[in-house]
Amino acid sequence: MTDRSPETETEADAKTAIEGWLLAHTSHPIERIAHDQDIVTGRILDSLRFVDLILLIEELSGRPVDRAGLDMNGLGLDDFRTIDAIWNRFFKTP
Amino acid sequence: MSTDDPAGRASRMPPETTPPRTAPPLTMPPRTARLMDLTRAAFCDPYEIVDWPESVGDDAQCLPDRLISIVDTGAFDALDRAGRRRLSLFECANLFSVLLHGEKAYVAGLAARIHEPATASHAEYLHALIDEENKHMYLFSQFCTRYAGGVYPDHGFPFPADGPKEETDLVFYAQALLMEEMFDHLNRAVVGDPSIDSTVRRIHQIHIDDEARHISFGRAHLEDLVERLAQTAGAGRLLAIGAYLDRYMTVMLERLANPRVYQDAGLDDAYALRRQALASEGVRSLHAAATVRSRGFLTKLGLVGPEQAA
Ligand SMILES: [Fe+2]
Ligand SMILES: [Fe+2]
Repeated sequence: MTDRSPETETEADAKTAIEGWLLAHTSHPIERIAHDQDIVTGRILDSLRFVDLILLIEELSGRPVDRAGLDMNGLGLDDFRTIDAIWNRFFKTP
Repeated sequence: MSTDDPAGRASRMPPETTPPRTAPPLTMPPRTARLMDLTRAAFCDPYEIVDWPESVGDDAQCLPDRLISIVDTGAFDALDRAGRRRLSLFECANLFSVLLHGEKAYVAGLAARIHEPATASHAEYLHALIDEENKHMYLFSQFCTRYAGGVYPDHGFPFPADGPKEETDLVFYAQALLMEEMFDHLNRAVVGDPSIDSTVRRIHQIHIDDEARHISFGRAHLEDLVERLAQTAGAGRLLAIGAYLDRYMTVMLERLANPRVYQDAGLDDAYALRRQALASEGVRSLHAAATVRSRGFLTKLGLVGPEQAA
């Protein structure tokens, strides 16, 4: 499902921050990551960096990723597959 | 179908084409058999081994300063004795949680591999090892639940494995060994400080005693796996695996700096504090000390080049 409403400033800022962090932490020689680009399959993000991404999402969104203080129950890799998906899953919903 | 129905039994017999199982019974390699004997001798009841007091850390820290992630930051300097004791309790619970989650992954992976041909001759010992890791997880979770509001969540995520099985197996066993060696260093630092809470020291001591056997097994087993892989993989491949393992060690140790801990201890700017902690000299020197032994071993195995070992 595509959300065609224009990005708010908050949304653009968060996505840019995540992209910047990924670029700083990936071993790939790339300068840009499209917000709908698969960062998991292409191993732009690997399993070792994953924990740090969680902390970044928490810091930017101001709330814990594991909503009920549980482990990653109920979350799947698809929730982290693209920058857009991360926004939709962890920032957008109230 | 009743169990004494001859027809029913016959229908469950393997087809005639299945070769008869004539292989001789597996014997454990001598080193593993010795570890099995030592394991039997050390057998304990996890539900009785620790006398859990009402509370811990009332008049002692639960970790020495050196193991507290923010020891080298202004936020730590600003804490009074009671504040440091409280922080050390949550830091200790986080250390136990990180270890618990690592052991959880190890047990899951071992359970999946235990009777595969590559480890079948060690299987008896590996069953005992799983039992011991489960006991450790029990003790760590009891501590966290009784005194610190629960186990800190696991933010690791099982990525689908890629690469040939010999490599993913090697990485799996190597990660377990590296975790055991790094935490052995931390366990010993706690036990070696008589000012630390006695219940906490007891748990760390139990862990040291059991892990000595696991580390002995893990080193010998990893040596075998590397030797086998080296027959088909080039030196470059071994170094790439080593580089990954090196990052694994860093990431595992960085998990000891947890913003949730700082929030629980009432500290501000928890995420910035983590960055500050990880950049501090105190944390860097702790990481170096906790990994020096493992780096030496990885170098000896050809997984880390001499110039990367420092
Ligand atoms: Fe353990
Ligand atoms: Fe162990």
